[in-house]
Amino acid sequence: MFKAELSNPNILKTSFDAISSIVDEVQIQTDSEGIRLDALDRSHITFVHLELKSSLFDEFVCDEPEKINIDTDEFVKVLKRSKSNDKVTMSLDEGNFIITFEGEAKRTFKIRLIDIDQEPPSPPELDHPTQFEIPFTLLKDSIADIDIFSDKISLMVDGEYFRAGSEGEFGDANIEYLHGEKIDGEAKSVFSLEKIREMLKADKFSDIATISLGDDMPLDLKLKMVSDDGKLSFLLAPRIEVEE
Amino acid sequence: MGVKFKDIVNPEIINFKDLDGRIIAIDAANSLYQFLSSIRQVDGTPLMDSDGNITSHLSGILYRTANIIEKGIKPIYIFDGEPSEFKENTINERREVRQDAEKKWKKALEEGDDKTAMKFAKRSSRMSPYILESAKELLEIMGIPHVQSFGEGEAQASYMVENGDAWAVASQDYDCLLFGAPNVVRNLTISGNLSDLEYLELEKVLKHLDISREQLIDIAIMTGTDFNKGIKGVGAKTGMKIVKNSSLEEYIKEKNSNLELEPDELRNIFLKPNINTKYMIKWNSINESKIIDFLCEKHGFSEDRVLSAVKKMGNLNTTQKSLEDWFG
Repeated sequence: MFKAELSNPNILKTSFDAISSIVDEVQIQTDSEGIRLDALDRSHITFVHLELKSSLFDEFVCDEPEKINIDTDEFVKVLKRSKSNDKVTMSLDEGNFIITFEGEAKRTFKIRLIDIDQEPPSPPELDHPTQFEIPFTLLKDSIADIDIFSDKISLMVDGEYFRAGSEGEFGDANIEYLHGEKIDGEAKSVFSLEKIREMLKADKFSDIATISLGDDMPLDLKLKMVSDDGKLSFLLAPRIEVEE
Repeated sequence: MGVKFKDIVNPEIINFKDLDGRIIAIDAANSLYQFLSSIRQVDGTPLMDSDGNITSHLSGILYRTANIIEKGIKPIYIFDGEPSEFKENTINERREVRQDAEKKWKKALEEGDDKTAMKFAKRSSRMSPYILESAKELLEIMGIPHVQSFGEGEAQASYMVENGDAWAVASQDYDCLLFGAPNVVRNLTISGNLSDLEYLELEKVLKHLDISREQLIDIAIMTGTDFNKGIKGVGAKTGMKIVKNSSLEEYIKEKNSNLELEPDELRNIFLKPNINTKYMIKWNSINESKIIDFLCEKHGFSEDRVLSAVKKMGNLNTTQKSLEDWFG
């Protein structure tokens, strides 16, 4: 038996806004510790990991590990129908993932489970030379700034500053942020703006984003709930300059 | 053209973003044919320059290639080599269809019936040395690699995917599956809107049908390929039953039927094709002055439109990496 109850739908909504723009189908794994999800988009550019600990839930029951395979779009459509202070319950029956919203009325949705033949991917062990924290809104704003001139964004960090920048045909945009952390050396990688935008759809997960950067290495972006009960993280493969 | 697997194979619908950063080996003959038949004026007349040279294929190569590059795909065009001697029948048949269509097209033109003219004009599309040479010349100028096959382009493209030099073959024909292409993308070079891509993964197709690639080839041989007519009355579904419950050889014996060639000769067309293993793949920067000279000066293209396509190709200057490089 699996049953997980949350006092509101917001964390699910924001997580799956991002997840559904990256992958069409996911396997949610549940056990007594909580629920987790690992997924890789079809072009193998973005990896996403979600972890919600049992302590986050008002009620959490999971006798034996379950694998819940669903179409992410269907789940998001259902979540969009919730009100922000609805109590949310997730459970399972033979062939369905059941979501119940309780507010003024009790509303129940059943999403058909699907077949997924692939095992969920496990993330690679990456050893980034730098790690630092920046406000989530700063990252989100940077994307909007860069978007004026380019569809690519370069992310750089050195001992003092985190920098986001772009060079476009019609202009440049540059953002500088004094990070105040101890970082040795510097790192720079370029990414697709569109791919970062997909990840940042999870804009209600955390106020702080933890970023790990290297030179021409994947971006590691971690969002952690203040209570430490939940974690949403992404890996994004870089774009690299072609040598002539 | 190609084998008729529609009844047993269900492609997945995918998006362009699923192909971001991927190298795709495009069946050149197949794409050129698509461009020649679809890029036409309303009465079916192909695009032509002031000297009367056909330019439909050049238009297709330029704009379509630029569009898919803008979406992050790195294309390689694979050209056919010598056609197999076994393909003669198919080639002759296609020639007849084409000649007949050409007559009907001309007649409709005289009668001023644009709709009928278009219908037959499309079927009259033909490859010629000029078409192939000018297509290759344009690709050179664009800096897009092209590979010359020894035999069937689809076989060469399938080999290149198996060899890890490309991620998928782009072709409308299901034959690539027979040639062993692990991934096949359909509709990539269909002109018109950039959508409705179909994707086939050989392993999944075989697993779903619960047969081997060799059995899939036998089904193709029975239903008919570009190299043989097939056995009368056997479609893909019947073919499936035969390979599962009996065998190609047994069925021929039982029905007292015969194929034009020995089963193994036909199988080997797909299993042991002649492959060019010494090919070079490199994307070079587009030569802007040469492309203006070639397309605008020589073939009457609009400079503004050519330049906007050139701009889209700037996307080749950076490559989207895949996480596979770090997953090890």
